[in-house]
Amino acid sequence: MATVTFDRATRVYPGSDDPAVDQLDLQVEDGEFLVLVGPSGCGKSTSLRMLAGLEEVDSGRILIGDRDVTHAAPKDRDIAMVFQNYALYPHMTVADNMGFALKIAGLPKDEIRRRVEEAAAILDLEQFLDRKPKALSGGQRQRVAMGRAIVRQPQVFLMDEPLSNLDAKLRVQTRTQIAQLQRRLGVTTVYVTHDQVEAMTMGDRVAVLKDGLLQQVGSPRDLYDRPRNVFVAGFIGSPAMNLLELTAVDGGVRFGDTVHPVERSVLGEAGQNRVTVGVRPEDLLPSEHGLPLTVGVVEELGADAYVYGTTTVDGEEHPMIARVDGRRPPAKGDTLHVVPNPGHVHLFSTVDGHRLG
Amino acid sequence: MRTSKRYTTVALLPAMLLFAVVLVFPTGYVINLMFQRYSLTDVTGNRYVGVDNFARLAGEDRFWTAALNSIVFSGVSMAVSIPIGIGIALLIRRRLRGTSVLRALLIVPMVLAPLVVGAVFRFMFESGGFIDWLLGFVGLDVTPFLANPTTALVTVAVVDAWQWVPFVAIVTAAAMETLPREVLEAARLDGVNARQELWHFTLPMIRPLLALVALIRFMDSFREFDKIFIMTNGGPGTSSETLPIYLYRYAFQYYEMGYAAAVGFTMLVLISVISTVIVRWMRASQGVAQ
Amino acid sequence: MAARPSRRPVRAGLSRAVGYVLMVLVVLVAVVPLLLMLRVALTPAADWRSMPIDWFRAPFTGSFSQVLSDGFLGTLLNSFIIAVVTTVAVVLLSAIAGHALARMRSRHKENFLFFVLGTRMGPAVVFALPLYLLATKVQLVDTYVGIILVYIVYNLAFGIWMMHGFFLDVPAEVEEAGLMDGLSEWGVFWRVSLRMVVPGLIATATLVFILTWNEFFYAFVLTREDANPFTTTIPGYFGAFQVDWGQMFAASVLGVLPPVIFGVLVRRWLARGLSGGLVE
Ligand SMILES: Nc1ncnc2c1ncn2[C@@H]1O[C@H](COP(=O)(O)OP(=O)(O)O)[C@@H](O)[C@H]1O
Ligand SMILES: [Mg+2]
Repeated sequence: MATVTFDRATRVYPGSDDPAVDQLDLQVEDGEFLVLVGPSGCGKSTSLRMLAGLEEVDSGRILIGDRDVTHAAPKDRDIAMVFQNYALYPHMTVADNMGFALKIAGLPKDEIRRRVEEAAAILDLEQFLDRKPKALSGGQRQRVAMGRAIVRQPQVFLMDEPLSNLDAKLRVQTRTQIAQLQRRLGVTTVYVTHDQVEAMTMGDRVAVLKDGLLQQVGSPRDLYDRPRNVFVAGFIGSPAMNLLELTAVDGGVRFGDTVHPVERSVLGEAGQNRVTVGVRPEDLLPSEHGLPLTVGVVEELGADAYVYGTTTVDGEEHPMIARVDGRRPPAKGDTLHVVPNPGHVHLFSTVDGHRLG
Repeated sequence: MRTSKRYTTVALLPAMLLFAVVLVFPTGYVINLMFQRYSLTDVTGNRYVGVDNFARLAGEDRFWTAALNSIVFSGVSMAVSIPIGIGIALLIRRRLRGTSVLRALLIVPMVLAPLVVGAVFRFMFESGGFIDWLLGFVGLDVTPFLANPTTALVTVAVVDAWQWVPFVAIVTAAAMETLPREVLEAARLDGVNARQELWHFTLPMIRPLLALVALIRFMDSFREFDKIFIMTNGGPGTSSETLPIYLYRYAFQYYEMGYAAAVGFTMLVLISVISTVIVRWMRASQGVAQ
Repeated sequence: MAARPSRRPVRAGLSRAVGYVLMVLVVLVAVVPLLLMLRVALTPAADWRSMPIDWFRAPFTGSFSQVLSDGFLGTLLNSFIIAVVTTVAVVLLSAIAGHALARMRSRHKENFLFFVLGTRMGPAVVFALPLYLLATKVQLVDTYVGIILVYIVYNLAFGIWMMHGFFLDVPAEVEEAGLMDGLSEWGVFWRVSLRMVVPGLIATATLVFILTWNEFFYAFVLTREDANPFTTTIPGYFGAFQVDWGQMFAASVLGVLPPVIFGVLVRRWLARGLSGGLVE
């Protein structure tokens, strides 16, 4: 077991001017489950592959434990990886797939067999050990890929969107299983996904990436409650946070016909009289006053309902989502008024999107 | 997998070395030789003569005959083998009973040694031989195909086509199998008949492959030596003498190595030019296909 | 309109019948020359030209025994040694080079591939001359080494081109999984990638074996009586005034049998091989 450290690690693909991963600084604790999340193309896989040794590091360093592995070959890093399409060896049986690394490492046959069977028992794969990957379902293949990683008992697990080829239901099930398994084995894990729900439910900590730049690292709760910038605010949470550019007035921001009070010092940070105000759908409370919300679609979930509608700020229409009581949902075309829950308003600079206060 | 420079270098080295020894060297040798008068029978006059060999070649009627014969040979061989091959591919596509037997036996012509193919057809074309009997059987006139200067070349080209029709057929049939069935079925539902489907869907969709087939057929037929050598040896007279036969004579019978080298080089240039045209067409048709 | 449904089956039946007639015709045209060869090889000289051919007359074995006692088997053995060694060498070398090329990300790759393919279009007649002179100098005329070297290079281009294509189909991730499992680049090639292109290896091997077995011109120029494959013996049966068709075809039948059997056995892979891996 070990920690993992990215020390200003940078990757620029040949023929491209912008780094795919730009000076990534990240520390993963021993035994921690860290999720790298971000939209497609943000550099998640590249980061993971740099750690694996599959991609060159153009500048900066990567450490596993105290060891600098920046230029070490993949085989010398003691890392196991689960690939998005599983990358099973098609010409080997499930047992051989899982035991291959041990065989390369020169372990005795019965030891290999024992460890493969142990892993197979954990993953419920015992009856498939003699099959070729071709004869397995997607979910079974996924488990074989997991098995191949765990029999190795490596220092670090890497997983690159291992659930994205499963159907929705299986994905939710497997999500929990992987998280439980990781906690049980206690192996440091870096997990890549573009799905923020996956990130929030699985990770001890979550690192949000955008355009090759690390936006924020923290516990799921941190990210949800104190997003460091507009991007993280909008990316984390479902349905997404409402983000509106509003006018600052003396002592607060204008929220429809009300003023939401904000400390003067915080508004001062904005440097101008416009701020981006973020309020999660569940933090919009119905009121006599506030922003008018014209109901478009109502999504009823039983106890709750989500209202997807539009609001008008300074004569411009913006989409807005609010959670309301599921027993008394409004009808399409109605207009509600909402105000933010006072403790749960996020303010961001309109210039660079950073969090104010 | 991103491979290291070292891996690439080490992996390519053996092939590169072999190419250097057995290809680059001979090519250099040919280029050096073609500027010389270099005879093995009369070594006293051997010396560099600049482009004399090319001047001589340009003035030789027999060379131009051979060049023309080569083009006719390739043209006939391609023009016969490609359409018939496509036809057989369409027959295979119908999946009538026994198609697997057809496919298996279709292999036979192309795995035979071309020299042996030439020999057996020479036997069949002998006067009073199998072909004459066959023609008489279906009520056609008998012609001495190989002994007649006007028919010898074309006859050998048709034999060459016979050998490679299966190549065209098998490769085309395999390509047709990979075509998306839905497209063809959708076309059929839109009221497209079988012939329209062939012309407007199937053939255009396999055009890149057909271009490659044409390229391979061209290169193979243009350098064909064995069949001509054994069937007519270039005769009667020089009526079926193609460039390979012509080159063979000058190099290995008259031992005029310098001149032969010039002929060889000209041949390479000719093949490159025609191949480039076909590759262009291939690229263009790939653009169309995408 | 009313007549149509009743006419349809008739027309379909007719077209089916035409299909079968064509199939029989194609098969006949494809195999009759081979059968004819066998028939003449089993017929005494006096009856070679009697038409129509009596396909079922009792076999005459004189030509075969003559050919076998003339040392023809030695040339068959030569063909075998040369073709097998060439095939193994070409498949191995093409796999190694083809894999490296398939994983190469360089501008030079395209050029190299076209150079490689270009070497195949060089006609034997052009290269045979300098190769003959070279072989004479290094005393490799009429040796296995000499002719095999030439054949290896002659086939290597196509082999590399083909294997390159097959390796492109191997997913990069599976190779990377190999790296993660502790293999070196060579280990990945040998223990993972190569195992995944077995059909490609078979296709390449088939093609190289058949092409080498059937080659005539290089052998004609570069071998005499020690390393000469069977093809070089065929012209010898054509005398100045007459041809010993019986013996010539007896020799030919023995010579074409291995590739015919081999070809029919592995025909599944032949289409891929012949098209340079372009079709499945
Ligand atoms: N092999 C490559 N060559 C060049 N650019 C690449 C390569 N792989 C990825 N990229 C680019 O690098 C960026 C990050 O890619 P990646 O790490 O795969 O993103 P993610 O996994 O977050 O979707 C993207 O813009 C992508 O286009
Ligand atoms: Mg990715």
